[in-house]
Amino acid sequence: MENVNHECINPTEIEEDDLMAYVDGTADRAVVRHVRRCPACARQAGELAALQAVLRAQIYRCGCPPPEQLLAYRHGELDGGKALQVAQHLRQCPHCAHEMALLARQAREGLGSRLRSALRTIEATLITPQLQAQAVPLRGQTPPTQIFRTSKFDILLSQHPARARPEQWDLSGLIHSGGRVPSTIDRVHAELYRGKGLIALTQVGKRGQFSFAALDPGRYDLELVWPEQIIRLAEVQVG
Amino acid sequence: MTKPIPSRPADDPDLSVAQLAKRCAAAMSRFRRRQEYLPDACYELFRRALELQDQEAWQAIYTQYHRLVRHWLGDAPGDPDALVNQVFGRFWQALTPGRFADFPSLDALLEYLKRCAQTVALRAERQAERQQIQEDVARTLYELGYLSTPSAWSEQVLERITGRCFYTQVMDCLTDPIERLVFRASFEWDMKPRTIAAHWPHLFTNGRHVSRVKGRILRRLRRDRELLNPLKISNSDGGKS
Repeated sequence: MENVNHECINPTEIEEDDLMAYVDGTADRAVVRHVRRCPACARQAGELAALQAVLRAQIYRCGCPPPEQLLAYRHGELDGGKALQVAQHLRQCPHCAHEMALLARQAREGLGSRLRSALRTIEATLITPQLQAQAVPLRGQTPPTQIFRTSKFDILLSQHPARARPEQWDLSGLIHSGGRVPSTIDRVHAELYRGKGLIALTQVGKRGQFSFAALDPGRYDLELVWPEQIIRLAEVQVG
Repeated sequence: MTKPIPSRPADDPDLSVAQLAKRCAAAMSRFRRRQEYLPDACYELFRRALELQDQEAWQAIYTQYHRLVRHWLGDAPGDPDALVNQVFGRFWQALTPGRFADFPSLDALLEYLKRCAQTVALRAERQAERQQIQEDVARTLYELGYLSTPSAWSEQVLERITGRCFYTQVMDCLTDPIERLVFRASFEWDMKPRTIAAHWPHLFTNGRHVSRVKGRILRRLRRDRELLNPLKISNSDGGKS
């Protein structure tokens, strides 16, 4: 084992990595007991905690796009490069994703001072077997197409490994009604949520198609937003 | 959705600001009750305020819409009146006389006013979050013995450090994508190790794994005197500065 420092009361009890785990609260009980007894390790842990605190203060959200840019992205006003930057940022930053979800909710309120109760949410039902969260597709094998259904629409979701990063997935969707493209499809956009954060949004094409690229494996909620209603696909398993 | 009634625009330019304001108030009252309404008086008020820079019309706009703006601001932290003023200030600065033609309807103007409110609200939230983090950090450093008083953090350190420059320097040092992710998730997005592991389960087995990567990063940073100098944090041979 690598010694922590020569002042440690018992270097065999602790590894260098353990001090960070102690500061983070992820260390096991033996490490906690050691640090409480060892002044040298406690001092080093204190220094790590101080450095961590300073970094947190200085760097918190310094890479996040300003609110104006998030709004511009939401309204489709950013050029390709900037839009891609914001889209990539939303995949990772939970704070901006949460802000986008808030903006999405406010958009559904419209301009009025009262919440529009007319915008109803319809939960689509998964009619194909749900993927097991723990299951990992075999190499070269893609998960089967998932089909969600409401009284009027079928939504087919398929996924393929992302070209640039095979550990990620591209999710493609198709909306149809009785085998035909819904007549109001040009007014629909799709919003992808992970937890409480809105991480991606895209316009649905005139053939009812939409896609999200380079998604990390996990569970997502997908909302298809019409002017008068929302169709929600809960717990879409990706990967 | 409530639709505006086709208007008779020829009437509006002859009306005084007071008359327009009264008609606008009536129209907005109908709008709120989801009845058909005439938007032209309100639009003409905006036009006089923004395109003609009529101060009386601007005051009428403020009187008519400040409550709506207040609603859009929601629970944004800060003095509500100050925030409302920020929203109108932002709206006024953005909609110069030359830009007014880009907003052909009352809906378009109100949508933009709402965006100004959303921007102000998000900025206020972010500022409050940063303030809270600064206070947490000051308390931590004080309890660890690095500060004589908690307020010494803001006074001594914030004046010297530009967060963005330091961030860029650190990111330049981190070439491993996993380390970059842990660094950003831990400090830029303020996520705990277990949360990071849960968010990227295909990259990290558990919180302890994340701590291990973070520890590696911080040990390397502590050895870099140039990086740490602005922060006045001790290097690996100990001793507080």
